[in-house]
Amino acid sequence: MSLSGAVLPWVTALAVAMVVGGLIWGFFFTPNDFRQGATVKIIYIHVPAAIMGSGTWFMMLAASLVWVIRRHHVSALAAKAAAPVGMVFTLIGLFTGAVWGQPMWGTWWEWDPRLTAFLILFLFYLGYMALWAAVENPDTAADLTAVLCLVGTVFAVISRYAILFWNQGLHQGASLSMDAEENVADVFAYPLWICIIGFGLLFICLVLLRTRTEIRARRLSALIAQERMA
Amino acid sequence: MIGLLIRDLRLAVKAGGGFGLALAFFLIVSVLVPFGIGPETGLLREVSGGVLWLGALLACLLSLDRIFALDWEDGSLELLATSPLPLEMVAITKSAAHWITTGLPLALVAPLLGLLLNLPEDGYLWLVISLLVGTPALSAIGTFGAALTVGMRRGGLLLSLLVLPLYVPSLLFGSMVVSNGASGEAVGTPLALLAAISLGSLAILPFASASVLRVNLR
Amino acid sequence: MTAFIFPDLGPYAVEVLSAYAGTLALLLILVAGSVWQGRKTRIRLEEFEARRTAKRQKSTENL
Repeated sequence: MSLSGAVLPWVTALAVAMVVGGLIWGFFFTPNDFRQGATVKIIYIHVPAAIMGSGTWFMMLAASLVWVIRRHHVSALAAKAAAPVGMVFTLIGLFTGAVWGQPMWGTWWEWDPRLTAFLILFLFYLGYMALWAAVENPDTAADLTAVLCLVGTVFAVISRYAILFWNQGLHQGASLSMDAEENVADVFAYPLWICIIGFGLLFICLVLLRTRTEIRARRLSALIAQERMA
Repeated sequence: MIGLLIRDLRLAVKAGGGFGLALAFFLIVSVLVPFGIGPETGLLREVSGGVLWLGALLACLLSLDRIFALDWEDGSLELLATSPLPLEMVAITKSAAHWITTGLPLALVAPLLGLLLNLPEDGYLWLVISLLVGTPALSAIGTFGAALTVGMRRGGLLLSLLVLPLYVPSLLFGSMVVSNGASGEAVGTPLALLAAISLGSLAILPFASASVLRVNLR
Repeated sequence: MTAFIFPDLGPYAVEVLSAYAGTLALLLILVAGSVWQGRKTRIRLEEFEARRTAKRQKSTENL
């Protein structure tokens, strides 16, 4: 706790600086795209949010594995703490994707493989959080949600390919890629990278904060239980 | 293990066992769909494959909490856990019992419902095949979900929330088999992938289900 | 120092601004919620531990 407490203010400051700085740079100081006009500015939120949305799930996967193998309480609580963060990032990714898609594709929603896979990921987050909430005993909850995360990851990966096959056939590449990272010009790429790193730091600082809260909450309920028994 | 299977089958078929309920639900949903989307034949022909798969999937979902609920309530689940039969085998047996009383009948009844929904002629065979191949995955995944939520009082809704996203690959490939088959396109790849998911689920999920049951029985 | 110009968003002003606004709103809710939860838990824990130490002190005083 003391290490995370010492690190947290610095991570927060750096995160805020990079997110705010990156977004300001991207919003105010980059040109519009030839094809997409000003909507390209959405990239500075959409891409970092999408990356962190899936990145969070992988962190939860790693934490769940650590719990299953080594039973470090902090890892289970870290996974629990990270879930709402991942869910919000995924939601931002979906929302900005839809808003970006409206002028580009003409509809608010497209069953594009990336957006669809993201919607499924959002549902996974909801299920994971619901399971934590539904089980009273914290160790049981940790065990159940860890297994759910593991099984869910396998199915998420399978779903990714299934969705790709479903909408675009196995060997066709995405025709309209929102993830313009591959061919992004430097003038867009620099602020984009700052935003990506900034969102990553934001994720770290939120998970640190929330895990500390979970640890305290656990300690509190353990103390209360102790009192009741004495 | 066979004894357990026969016992579960017998329980399911008895009055109150819920055997006919899944079929009835499948029928009702198939009847409701035209009420929801309109009776136009062309439209129904387009969507019938997917709708039937969806109906079968939801009917499977409804019977999931019975997999462990009865045994949990009367204590026989604990007995099963301490018996010489490994809990993984118990899980597989439960999945098999669920499939025999749900997935299998649904697959066999589906062609009749295909009539209601103007399923194209070429689609019937593929409907039955895809359901036969795909519903074992639904049973295996459902067993896992039931194990997670066993003993919860209001577990039904949570069970659906957990299981439905896991059903997505099977649904995608299953309905693709039907629609491709109905329109004469290649069916091999989605069918093979559907089978892979079923086999993989049956191979791996009983281990997950067993470990989760152990946690819940502590 | 270059003059500060609000970028020309063209016909997409609504989309871009609502994307940014929605995102900031969601992030704000997440951050504020996390901070508030954290503060609440920390205070409850500190209060509980303070009462606990007070009780302990009282019972050792009576020995």
